[in-house]
Amino acid sequence: MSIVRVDDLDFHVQQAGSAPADSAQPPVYLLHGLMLGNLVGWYFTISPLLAKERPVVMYDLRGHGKSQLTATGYDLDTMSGDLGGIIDATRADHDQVDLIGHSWGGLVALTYALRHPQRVRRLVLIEVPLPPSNVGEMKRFMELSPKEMLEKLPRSSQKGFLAGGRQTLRLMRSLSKLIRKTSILADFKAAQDIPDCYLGLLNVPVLALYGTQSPCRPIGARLAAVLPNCRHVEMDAGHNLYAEAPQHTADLINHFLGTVPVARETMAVH
Amino acid sequence: MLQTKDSILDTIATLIREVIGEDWVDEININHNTSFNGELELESIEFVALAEKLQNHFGDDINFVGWLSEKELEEIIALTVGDVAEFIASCQ
Repeated sequence: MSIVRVDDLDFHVQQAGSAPADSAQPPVYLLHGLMLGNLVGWYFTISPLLAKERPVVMYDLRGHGKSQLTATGYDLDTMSGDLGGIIDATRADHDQVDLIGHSWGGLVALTYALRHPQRVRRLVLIEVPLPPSNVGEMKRFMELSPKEMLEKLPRSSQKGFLAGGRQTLRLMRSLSKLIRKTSILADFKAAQDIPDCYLGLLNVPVLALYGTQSPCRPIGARLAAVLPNCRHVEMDAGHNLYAEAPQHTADLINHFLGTVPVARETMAVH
Repeated sequence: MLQTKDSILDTIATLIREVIGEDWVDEININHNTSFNGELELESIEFVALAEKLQNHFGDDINFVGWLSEKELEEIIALTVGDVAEFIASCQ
């Protein structure tokens, strides 16, 4: 397990594909959603498919998976700062990186891109809720007990959460800790909308992926209308579309990220 | 160096015990038929740790993650230690 320390906090990081230092392609960073999410959601779904073409870096957000739990700091400001620290520790010589975020992880990536547009080459937003806490179904989900949350999971995304006594118990325990001992729910509820005039300044190419069966669906149309450089694709799936249709999702993303031509002087001579 | 299936199985059992790191797993006889989801009740994030250890031990030719990611949910639920041992033997 690789641990990256950012501002005295330990983050669990996993890499797939070639190492950023050995690759001409910029690394892509994958950011999971809140509460039930951790890097496993990517690890056995789209990560291996993306890693065939580029270095992949995944990490557990603070308080999630095997990253350190903190009492506070689940707001987008702090979490995009975490992302900045992870990028700086792992990007090797790449001045620009690609970002992919699902749900809240997408908001973290979007916040980072708005602050550091020069650092982000391409941005993929999957099912990002905006305003963050204003999607009725998401809000109701966040108010459920850990047990109810688990029951709501679609079967396809349970690939990462095999049902069983010990597994369920451990997942419930970490969810309860997150809800009872941290500011996560308060931070989620307090998150403000990002105004259209601000989004309109984002000069980074964006791919917005939304599911036709998801409550977040209308937000995709808003992003497509407001962002200056946005490709909007709807998939016949729900909120966890990358777990429901990993191959299709990875194909769309690999096509959007493309391959960066290798500069002549950096090409290996055989 | 090529390993026999039995020695692969022993190695996997050792790595599983390291990953789980709880006393009860020392008492369990880990064999070909031991199920990850059944007897071991391995958490998905523990699978990630196991994948990393398998890679470190058996080398980069073992694409355990790629192999696993092509499986359906039902196949993963039914996965046994023997399945993984056979996969690793087939890569050597």
